Amino acid sequence: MKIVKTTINCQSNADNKLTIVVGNGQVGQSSLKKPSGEYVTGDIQNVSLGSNIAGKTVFVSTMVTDVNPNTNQTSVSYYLNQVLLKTVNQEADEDHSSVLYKTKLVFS
Amino acid sequence: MKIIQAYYTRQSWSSLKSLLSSLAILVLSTHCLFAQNGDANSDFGKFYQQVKAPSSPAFTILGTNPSEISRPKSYRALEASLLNSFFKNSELTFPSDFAIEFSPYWLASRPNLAFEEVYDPSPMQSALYSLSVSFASLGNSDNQDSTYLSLGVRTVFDFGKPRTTLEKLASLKKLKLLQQNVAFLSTFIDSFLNNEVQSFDGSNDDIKSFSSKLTTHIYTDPNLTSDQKDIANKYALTLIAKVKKDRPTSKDGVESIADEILTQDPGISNLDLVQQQAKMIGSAIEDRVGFKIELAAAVRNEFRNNTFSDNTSPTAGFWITPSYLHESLPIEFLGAFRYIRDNQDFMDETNMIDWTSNMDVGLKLIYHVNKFSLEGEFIYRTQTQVLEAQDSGNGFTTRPERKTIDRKFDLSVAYQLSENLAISYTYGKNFDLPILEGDLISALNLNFGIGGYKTSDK
Repeated sequence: MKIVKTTINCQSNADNKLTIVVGNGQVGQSSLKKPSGEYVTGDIQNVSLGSNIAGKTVFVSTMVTDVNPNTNQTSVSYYLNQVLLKTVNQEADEDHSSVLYKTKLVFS
Repeated sequence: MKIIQAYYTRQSWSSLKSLLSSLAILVLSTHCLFAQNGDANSDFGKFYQQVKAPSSPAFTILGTNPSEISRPKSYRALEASLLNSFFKNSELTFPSDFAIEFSPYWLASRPNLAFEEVYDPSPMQSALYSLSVSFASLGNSDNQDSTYLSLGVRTVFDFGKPRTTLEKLASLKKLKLLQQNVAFLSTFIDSFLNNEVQSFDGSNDDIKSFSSKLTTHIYTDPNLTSDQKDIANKYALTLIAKVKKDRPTSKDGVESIADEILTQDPGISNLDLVQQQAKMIGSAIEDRVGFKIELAAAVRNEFRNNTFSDNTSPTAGFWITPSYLHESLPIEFLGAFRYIRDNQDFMDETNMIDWTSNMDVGLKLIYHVNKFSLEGEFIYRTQTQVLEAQDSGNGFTTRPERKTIDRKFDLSVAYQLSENLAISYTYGKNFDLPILEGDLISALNLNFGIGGYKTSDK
């Protein structure tokens, strides 16, 4: 299983709702730890990270597995308040293998 | 048919003997066919394999089966493959032996394409996903300065649906649970190392402190569920043991070991199970029922003297193969249509043929009942040959045309003896033209390796 490490710097807002999109027709599940200490695991869609989180770092992990017979390409896109922060791409080593995306969201 | 009549009209012992001997002669006179694959080697199977939309039309129309096929998966790889093959010393050249096949849609990453859209696509989406382009070149063995080039496209419009609905796809639920565990452990250790471990130098004190903090953290963190505590504890024990063994001298070293365990330790990430579920989901994506239609087209040109301007009129073909598989009833329908126009001139016994077109249409219906299957098929073939223009002597020229029509139809009953062995009997009328000793079909087939029903994931 490959690991892709990414750091994304982002601006804290009054509310910070995170959405993670797994692309290329693959299957992926995520986990994150909110600044409050709470863990959220599964599909991340408009998950509120809290307000006033400037200076905080949120750790997000997404494991994506290649199930799509058409391609081994995998991707994870990060949206904050519906705005795309970044898309990270990685090709799986072989059919049915996985990629672990480890991403740090650094809020300022 | 004669045998059955005899049985009903004369029921004496002599007629029974006659019946048995007739049956014996019939069986002995049938063709016993031993095949590797049931349907592919039955009469329709052979026909269907020949006329169904080929997976790589460019190779089919070129009549070649390339040993090496370039299959680029990105625009960059496609560009590199074409440049390497068509440019030698910065000059455009015709490669004499080249084959490439690619799916335009999948050359780019699709970050917004959800799994659900691949699992149950609309007909247009399925056509887009399955669209493939093939291209091949082949040197003319008779003329070294001549090269054949062919181009083909293929796609499938799938109007059906997956055999197993997304809600019933157990392997998807299992995969998601396994992924959640790995994603959770990854987040857990990253947060722990970032918040609880300030420095690490590999000393005994540091290792002891690290072990203590990690185990205490797991049992005191109020945000962890009991299940999360269990898997985190198992992971922590493995990590501590490896840190004690490898003795990293920095925090980054500990992080590397944590990643290594997460990505390689089968007891922590269950990668074998993940792969197993992924395979089942991949199979479920392809296990579809309902109606679909495959389309393919290809064109082939001969370039003489290896120049673009000096090329022959092309040979072209297209294939349409509809099929229908019922969701619950044991009924399968297969159809095939092929049209190929060959512009290659050739001399038959008496005439110069300018171009030839072949059109094949076939239908087959299969009905499965337990281990029995009943199959009926019909194939219609038309060949048109247009001769070179001839001077009719009155200032006009004519282009005589020869049309040949042929038909084949039969019924088969098959019995599955075991998973890989089936016996079948076929009765019907064969094509007239290639048959020298009559057109009766009476064939007993013994098929090895016949495929059974696909198992569905429920």
